[in-house]
Amino acid sequence: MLLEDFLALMVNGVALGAIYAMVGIGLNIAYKPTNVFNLAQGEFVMLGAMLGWLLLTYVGMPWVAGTLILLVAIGILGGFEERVAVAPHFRADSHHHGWLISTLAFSIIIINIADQVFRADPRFVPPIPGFSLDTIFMGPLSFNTHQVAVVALVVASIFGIEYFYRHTLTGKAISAVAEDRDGARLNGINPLHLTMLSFVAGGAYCALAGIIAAPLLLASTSLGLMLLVKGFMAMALGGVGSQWGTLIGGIVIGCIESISSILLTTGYRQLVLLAVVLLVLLIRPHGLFGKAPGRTV
Amino acid sequence: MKSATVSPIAGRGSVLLDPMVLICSLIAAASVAIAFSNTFYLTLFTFAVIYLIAAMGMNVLTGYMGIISIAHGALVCVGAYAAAIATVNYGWGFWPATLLATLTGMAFSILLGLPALRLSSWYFVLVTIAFSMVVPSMLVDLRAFTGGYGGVIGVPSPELGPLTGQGGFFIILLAFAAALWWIIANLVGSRFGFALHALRDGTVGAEANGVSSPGMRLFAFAFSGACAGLAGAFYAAAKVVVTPDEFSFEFSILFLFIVVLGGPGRLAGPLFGVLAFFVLPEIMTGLREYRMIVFGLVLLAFSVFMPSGLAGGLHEFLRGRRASRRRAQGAKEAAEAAKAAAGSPVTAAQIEGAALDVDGVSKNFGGLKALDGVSLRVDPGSIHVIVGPNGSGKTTLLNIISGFYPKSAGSIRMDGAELTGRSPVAIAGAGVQRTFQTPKLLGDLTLLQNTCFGAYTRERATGFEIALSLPRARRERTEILAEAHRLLGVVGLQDHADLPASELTHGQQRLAEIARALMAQPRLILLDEPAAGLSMGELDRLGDLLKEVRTLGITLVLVEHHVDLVANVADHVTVLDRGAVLASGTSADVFRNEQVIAAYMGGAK
Repeated sequence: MLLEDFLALMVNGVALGAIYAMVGIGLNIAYKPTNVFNLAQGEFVMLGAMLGWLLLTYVGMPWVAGTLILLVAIGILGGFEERVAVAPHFRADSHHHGWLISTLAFSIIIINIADQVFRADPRFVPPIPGFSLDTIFMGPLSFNTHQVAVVALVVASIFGIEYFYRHTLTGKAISAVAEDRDGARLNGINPLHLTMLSFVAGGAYCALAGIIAAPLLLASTSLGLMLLVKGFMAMALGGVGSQWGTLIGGIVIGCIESISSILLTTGYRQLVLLAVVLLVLLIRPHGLFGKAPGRTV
Repeated sequence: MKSATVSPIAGRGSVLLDPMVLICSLIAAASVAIAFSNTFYLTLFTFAVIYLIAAMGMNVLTGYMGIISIAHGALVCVGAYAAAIATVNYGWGFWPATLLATLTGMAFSILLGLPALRLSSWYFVLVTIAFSMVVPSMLVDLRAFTGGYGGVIGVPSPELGPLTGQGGFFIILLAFAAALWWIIANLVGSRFGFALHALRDGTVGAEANGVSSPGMRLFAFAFSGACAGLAGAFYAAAKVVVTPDEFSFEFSILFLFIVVLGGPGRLAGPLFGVLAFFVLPEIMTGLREYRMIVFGLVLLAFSVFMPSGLAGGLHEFLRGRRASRRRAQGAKEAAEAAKAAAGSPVTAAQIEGAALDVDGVSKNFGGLKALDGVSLRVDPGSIHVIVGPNGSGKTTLLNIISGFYPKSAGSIRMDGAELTGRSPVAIAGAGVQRTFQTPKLLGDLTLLQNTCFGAYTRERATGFEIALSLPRARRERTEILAEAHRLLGVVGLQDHADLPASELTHGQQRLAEIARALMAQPRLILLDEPAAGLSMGELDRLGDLLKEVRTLGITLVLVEHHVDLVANVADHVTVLDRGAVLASGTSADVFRNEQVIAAYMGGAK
């Protein structure tokens, strides 16, 4: 393999990985105060991409305006999901994983409605304004500026999220709820508000992931499930709750996928990824950077 | 004794007259009658029975144990391809190929489940989603072996003696489904079923009762995978042609619908699920395009409003009606039963209680010293009470003895054998039972079943014997049921034997936990605040009960605050304060000790 080809694949892998990491981070955001993995978030990414096509390409809105509308809309959808699919399980105080079923049901509803509305064709979404998909050559490196923007955006968002959790009152409250729900409640924090807030934020973040992923991956209704699985793999490799770990996990997944694309067919590529994730989970059940939870008796 | 003669499953009344059994039999008979009316229905119900076989397997994993799998359809697919390739490409007969398919499904299921043995169950959901996406693309990639998009063509149908053709196939399927139903009914009514339930409610209570969580999970994965593989072989035969297209993601999700909506953890659940979510939609073809949206909405609604599914809802409905009819006559029976049981001894056989030596045990949580060099000796067959203010390390000590926390230093020996370093399961197996501050009964199971579960560690019949209801399993089951009824009489709960444990009061749950602990015929019982939340009457009964247990020879270690109870029952009292032994002696001695009074009352030192 030529050096140029290898580097091109690596660049592609890092950019893909950054997108996977965004999905994983979106899962983390909703998980933190709730211990609920929102299985519908893959479909939020898909909606971000498909509605991005609708608003930016079909309607022709300016990128910033269209994206803002999108984030608000899908954020509200996330909040709505929390009300109908997650909050009832908290009220019932059931320790069975009822939310696994209800968030999965929510995602099934979204994808099947989207299938009816958009049908299966992939669609084009423009890149972030000021960036483009044209390849730039720099020595042996070849890349496009949208890829750079995606990676930069993810890194910036992680700094932002970490700052939020550590230095703002709401962020600290979320960290407190994550640590000890009842303890936080005794200190006057209402976990239910934070739960809803986190679902709104997780939804909006995933929508953003969708709209910036779409120029690279093309928008289609099958995007959601694929990205949910890859985002989960990134998060599982990196460790639940660790944003930087999720980014590294995402990049590992992206690079394995990208490099193997010239060696292996689709089926084998997916098999290799699944095997890597299973192997890592067998050896380090809480991921490369995750913490094992304490035991409760 | 009166209560011991009661029928085990339905409580009072014959099993055959249980309305649930009656309804299922009627549905099954009607389905068979409709199936033989014309070929369209015969084909439809052939597939319905195949789905039923697969769903019954998944119910063991997802319903009884609560591990949600999206890969069940993919495992059916693997089984179907195994059978198709073996018969068509290699010329195997149908039955050996079916065996191969069953084993293949089992192997894949175990492989997928391995990481889930140690992880939270949501990991498994996502791993299984990934797996169901891999399988169809691998089928295309392994073209030389699987025939790619074209699939494998010409899978033969099973024949068995006079049973040939489509009708014969259907009868064979019915026989398999009935056998599987029977096997699962045997298993879930046994310690295996109770253990699956216990694991669904969390590993702590299960492990304290001696259930190895990896072992049971592996069993559930293997069992559900085998059922999927078996169903796959029949699926291939019924389809004649297998192609990757049939095993879409929706196919995998369908089994989730069938099991979760039909009634997870209920025998009849998969039957209801298949009829409502496969047969009915197939008949109403007009809705096909919007089917998944409707299913999604139904799934969401059920998960919130009726998590126990169709079968669970029907069960509640029937129980409600029966309960109101019985309430009047029940009260009278109950009074009689209570009278009969009042004087009965705890157990016939004497037990040799264990001696417990705690020697210099320390436990650090980070910088906090929860226990600091605690030593105490418990004589066999005595009641030893540990008292102390909140945070003095009492429960921590129990958790170290029962193996839930590793010690930081020191040793704990039971009859000279070291306990530290052994798992909770091993310690339970050695004859140590414990209760928790919040009772860990299995809310969905009846009180009687909860009590039977206590015998988990001492039952000898293997899973194979239980599944096929062989003589030893039957004998053991009869003995355990009689024993459980008797112990419930001893703690005064015999009238509530058929109630779900969740409907008992807090105090009743505590007494029930003691009955469950006694079922194991343990040599040492650890009780964590057994008197908390008990009414005056229950408190008296608890005191008498503890003394009765002592007369049997069983060693008792209690953590308790209730001074009257301690003074009433304790042979020896150890007072802990801030992780160290403050005083030790008879209850009269320690309660007069000034340091103890100071520690409790917060007086000057």
